[in-house]
Amino acid sequence: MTGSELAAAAHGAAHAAEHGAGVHVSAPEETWLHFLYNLFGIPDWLTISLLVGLALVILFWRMSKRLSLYPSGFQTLWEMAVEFFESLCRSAIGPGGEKYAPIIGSFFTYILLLNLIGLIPGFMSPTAHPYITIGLAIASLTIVHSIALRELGLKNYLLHYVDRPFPNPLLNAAFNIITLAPVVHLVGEFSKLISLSIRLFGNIFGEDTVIFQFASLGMITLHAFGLLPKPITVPLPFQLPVVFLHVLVAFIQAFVFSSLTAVYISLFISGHEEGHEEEHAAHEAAH
Amino acid sequence: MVSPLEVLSQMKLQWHWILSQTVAFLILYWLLRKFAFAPIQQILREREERVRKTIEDAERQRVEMEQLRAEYEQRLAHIEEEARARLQEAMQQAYQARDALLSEAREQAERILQRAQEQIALEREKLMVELRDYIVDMAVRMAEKLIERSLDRTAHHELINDILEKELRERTKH
Repeated sequence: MTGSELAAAAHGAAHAAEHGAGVHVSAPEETWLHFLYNLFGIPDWLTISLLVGLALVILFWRMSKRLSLYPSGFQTLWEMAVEFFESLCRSAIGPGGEKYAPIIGSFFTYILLLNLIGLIPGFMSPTAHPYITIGLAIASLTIVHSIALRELGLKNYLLHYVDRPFPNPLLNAAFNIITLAPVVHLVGEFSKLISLSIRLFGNIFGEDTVIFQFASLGMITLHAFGLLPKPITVPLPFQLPVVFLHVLVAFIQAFVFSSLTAVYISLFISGHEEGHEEEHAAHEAAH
Repeated sequence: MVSPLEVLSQMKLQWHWILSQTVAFLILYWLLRKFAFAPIQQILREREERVRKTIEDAERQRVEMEQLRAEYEQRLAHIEEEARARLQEAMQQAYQARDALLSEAREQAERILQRAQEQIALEREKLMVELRDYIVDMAVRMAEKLIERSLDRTAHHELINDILEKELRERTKH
């Protein structure tokens, strides 16, 4: 918790004292980078997410300059991560799924860092903002659908939006018109967008808010028990257990987002029936 | 409690921010694929290939060594056998030579013995002849003495004793 957040917390506490407990308190959106918003109108969460992306690019660009067949340091760690992504893709998409490891790995790494950076004082998790998670979900589905188009061809891709329960094409056409199966499929695709973005946003926003509330609680307690003559803004680290929980949730949500992307890819590439089961299993695991 | 869906519905979505994040991620993905994934995946494959090759090489060399060892062992066993055979042959030759030498020596000894026996027999024969000659000679001389002096019985005996004693002494002196 940093100066600005502390100030916000103190403000919130004072506000609460004035207007009762029903006041709306959420995680602060003002960070140390807020001056960029004042100067150029770029929101803090977007700045942070771009900076994280830039840091990743610089980190890996530097790593790629000194790669060796005998790895050391960061390369060892990253090789382990890449092997993990490859095995994740193999288990979700099947043999040959390794080629989608860059997508899954990029999502995992980027979202993990976006989730964790909120723990650094003076920053916020950009994934606690719905615009970021919606943007990421759109990117995920864009990639999934372009892979599907490339792998299946236009005809097979479009056939994914219709149901064919009968051997007769006419019967199938009638079935699709009556049951509005293509519309259901389209809604299903859109629901993927909602589920991806809202799950990530909700979890991280919730964690951030809880941390913020616990941090505020530390200061309120000091005041309420009259331990000091005047209420001062020295916090007790009430939020510490939640910080560990946040780290856990950051990993889990990054994993869920990226493995769901893998599952969506496999839904298109492998058969329909298996895919639905896998999606179901993945959703079960996510909740 | 404010649900996330409510938050979303209350917000006026500003699509340019959302899409800027999408585009930012797509660019990030492209860069990460280029710098973070492609080279590492290539290195992983390369290393896998190298490890596989090394293990295969080691296995092949092991098999080769095994073959060589078997060959050497066989050759060694063969050499041992040969050496034993040669030793046996040499021993046989030695036995044969010994037997030959022994039999020759025995033969020679027998020959020498036989010659000695023959010589002994010859000597005895010679001695016998000499003895007979001597006895005859003595008898003749005794007869001469008898004829020379006709004596009484005691004188006779004395005479014979005398002569015999004399003769024997002479003989022993020789």
